[in-house]
Amino acid sequence: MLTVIIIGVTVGLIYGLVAIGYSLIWQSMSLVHFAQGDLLMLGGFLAITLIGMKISNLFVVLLLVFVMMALVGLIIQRGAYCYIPQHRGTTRIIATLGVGMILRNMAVLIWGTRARGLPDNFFPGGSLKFSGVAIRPVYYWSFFIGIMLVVALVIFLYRTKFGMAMRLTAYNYSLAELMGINPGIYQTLAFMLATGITGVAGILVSPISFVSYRMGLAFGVKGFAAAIIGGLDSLPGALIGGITIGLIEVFFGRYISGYVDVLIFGIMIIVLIFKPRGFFGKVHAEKI
Amino acid sequence: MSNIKKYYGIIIIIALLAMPFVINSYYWIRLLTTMGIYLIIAMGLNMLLGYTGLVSIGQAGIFGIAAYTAGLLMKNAGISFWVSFIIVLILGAFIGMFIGIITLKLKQAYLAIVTLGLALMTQTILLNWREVTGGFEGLLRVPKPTIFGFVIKAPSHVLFMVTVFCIITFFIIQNISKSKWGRSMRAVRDDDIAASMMGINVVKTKLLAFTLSAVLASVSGGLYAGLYGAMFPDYFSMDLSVLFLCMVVLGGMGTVIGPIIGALLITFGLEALRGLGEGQMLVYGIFIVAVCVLKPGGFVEVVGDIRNLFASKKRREAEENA
Repeated sequence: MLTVIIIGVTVGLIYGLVAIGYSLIWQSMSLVHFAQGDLLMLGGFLAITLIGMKISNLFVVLLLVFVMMALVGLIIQRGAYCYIPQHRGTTRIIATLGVGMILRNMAVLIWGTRARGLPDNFFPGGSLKFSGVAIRPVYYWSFFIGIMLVVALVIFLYRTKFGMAMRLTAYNYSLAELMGINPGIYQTLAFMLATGITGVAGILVSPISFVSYRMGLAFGVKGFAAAIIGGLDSLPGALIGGITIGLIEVFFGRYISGYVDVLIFGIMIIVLIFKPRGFFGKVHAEKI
Repeated sequence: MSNIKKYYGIIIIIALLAMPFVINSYYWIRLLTTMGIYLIIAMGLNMLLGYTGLVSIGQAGIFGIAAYTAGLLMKNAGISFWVSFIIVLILGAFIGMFIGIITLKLKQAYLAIVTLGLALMTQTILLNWREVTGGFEGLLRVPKPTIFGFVIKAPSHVLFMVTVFCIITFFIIQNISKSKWGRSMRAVRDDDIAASMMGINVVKTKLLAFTLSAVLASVSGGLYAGLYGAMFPDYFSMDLSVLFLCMVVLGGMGTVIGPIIGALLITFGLEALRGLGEGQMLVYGIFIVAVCVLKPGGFVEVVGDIRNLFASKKRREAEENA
């Protein structure tokens, strides 16, 4: 039972990180970024390549992947999204789907179609014994890194001037302009932050599930389900939503293996219909 | 000149209907048949997306349900093609109405996600409900349809039938877009609150668009089951939904001709890129993003640009002569 909870929370943290990516992009650009799952996959593959290049320190790899994924985000945002006008909602959705397709097929060309995993000794330390249950280092490191990332993000967003400017841009574009902030730059920075975090989530996922070019869809949609349950404009909500989804998946996965995805999508749809702002989201008046 | 212009429509229809019997390459006939089936769905999606402004990334799900239902009715229940076709259309109408009712309050990205979720659920069920759908091994050997004892089996006859359905769909769409319903849909797309103030029943209009697009997706599903005779859950994936969406958006949404341009462009574009092997989908993705960035209104804009170019040339010539 304890093992199940630990696995559920760890998987859930990963969904939560993906959901935070969705949430950051939604808040800063009001865009639902459908390529999020593919960014996760790219992060996983980059980590595998770095380890192949004999860089085996966990934190160095994390940092390098974060920086590289932020650069990928810069290219995507400045290369495509910032040119499409805000009112072309559907065109923007298609563009994100197209970016996902590019990332996926680039991964096929570079890394092939075979699913791969990180080496076992990538995460240092031995198994922890905890009331008779051995916890592999993969799990406690994933948990630790996930929590650290969220804490760092919250401090960054709420305690630094930089993060406040970013939040203001998200809250009100023209107000940010009036305050002497260049909102375009902060939108790009928020996007880069989101892609970086998603890339790191891709490293944490690789010991639990294999990295393959097809993994994006499942993680992308479940991450979105997490973001919806928590509310798209709430970062802690995204994390709680992620852990909820992770626990549901692990608990029910044992009984209804094939249909667990149906259950998760069903929960997501029901939440969307009855509580479109999620459980932790703010309620906005519809702009007329 | 003007005399010929009047008959353009009839000439094009005759040419289209003759097409299956003129082309004698199996490969091209197969390609055009697939395109026709996709085109019907894309035209239906255009009603929903282009006219009413409601996004759906779930058309492949409805397509899949319709294809499997028709296939199972024909294969296991022994019902004839035409009866099962009509049953599937009614089922499609109910599915469309159901999706419309549950998503009435949702817009844009939220709606896109719900429809995507429903389509993924459908695919998972098709894959896992082995006793009925055959799981990943698929549903095979569905009997071929007959008209008055004549079995539709030859590829050219199959293409002919799909072409007929495409033409019928085109005229239905064209008439609806010009009718009161079409105008209501556009009003709802541009501003639903203003539309309701003008006395348009927004709920009814949205439901009509959902129902129509789902019925057209079911038409394709029924045709697919009867004419192809085999289906696999993998086929009705998110990528297929995205393909339909691309046909509408890249072609130009909200225009009758847009999905047709989109379907031609994507079908033949993908064929032309086939030589690139694994790079095919990469170039396709770059193309999609490029069109989104450069021509957010779709490829119809390019046609308009070209027409303007020629028009201004003529005007310039006329000015020089004068």
